[in-house]
Amino acid sequence: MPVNSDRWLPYGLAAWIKEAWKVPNQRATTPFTRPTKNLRDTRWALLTTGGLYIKGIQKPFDIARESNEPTWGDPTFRVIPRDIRREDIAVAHHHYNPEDVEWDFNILLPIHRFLELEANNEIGSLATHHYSVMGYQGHPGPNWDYWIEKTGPSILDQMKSDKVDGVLLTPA
Amino acid sequence: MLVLARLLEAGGVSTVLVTNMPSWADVYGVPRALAVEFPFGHALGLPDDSLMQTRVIRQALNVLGQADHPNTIVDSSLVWPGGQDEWRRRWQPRDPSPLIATYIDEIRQARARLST
Repeated sequence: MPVNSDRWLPYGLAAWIKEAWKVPNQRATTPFTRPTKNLRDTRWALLTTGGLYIKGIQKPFDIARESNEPTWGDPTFRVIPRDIRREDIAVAHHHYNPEDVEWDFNILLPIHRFLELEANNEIGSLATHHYSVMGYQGHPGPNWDYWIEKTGPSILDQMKSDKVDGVLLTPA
Repeated sequence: MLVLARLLEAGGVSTVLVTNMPSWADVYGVPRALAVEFPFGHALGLPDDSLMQTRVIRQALNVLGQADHPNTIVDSSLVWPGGQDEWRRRWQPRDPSPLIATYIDEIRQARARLST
């Protein structure tokens, strides 16, 4: 059965999204980097849009500003090291219930699962650093300018210096 | 997320996206994706269910290993272990997001147009 993108959306929200959120068609220019290594040799980094940050150390994504300015979303990113503990992660995101991911961040940022795959030699290695952004980038639009100009290139630079070959991306 | 997938891919890194909105990925264009029919905020499954999380991850890694062209979207056959009505509520934030609160009238009108 094909995956139904509307399965979990309330009917009104699904209808409104179809009317108000236009996704541009850019299929013709989708980039493609062919993997040069097999999975057992690939070094992996993880990136989620779940709004995860390190409790007490990093600033939460600025959802207070978003409360006052609902058509704006914080476009910055957070770096999360591979030795992070479950209790160290919190979430700042207005658009989903973060209870489950705050309890076990592996459902969005599967650092512990990848450490197991690394220990089993199923992957080459897990990178030193992983990345979190807050997926809501404004409406109507969304406005991806900052991601394209700053956040994306900064994450890419850090992945390159960490010798990353493959990235698992998990939207919230 | 699609923007970042494309940006990283263009920068020389191979990516695979795990998404519950394959209809967006299919229109916008994504290097590679595994489509999962899982609620928002649960791309890899349930908390504390490491077997389920690993199963989804292995499927995603295989998509990356096997795709030979861009815009490859593979549907996962994994079934969400919970009811639709319950999880339609559970994934949603306790309070409507500021955006939803702002546009609630338009959302209700869109809902009304559906039933006419």
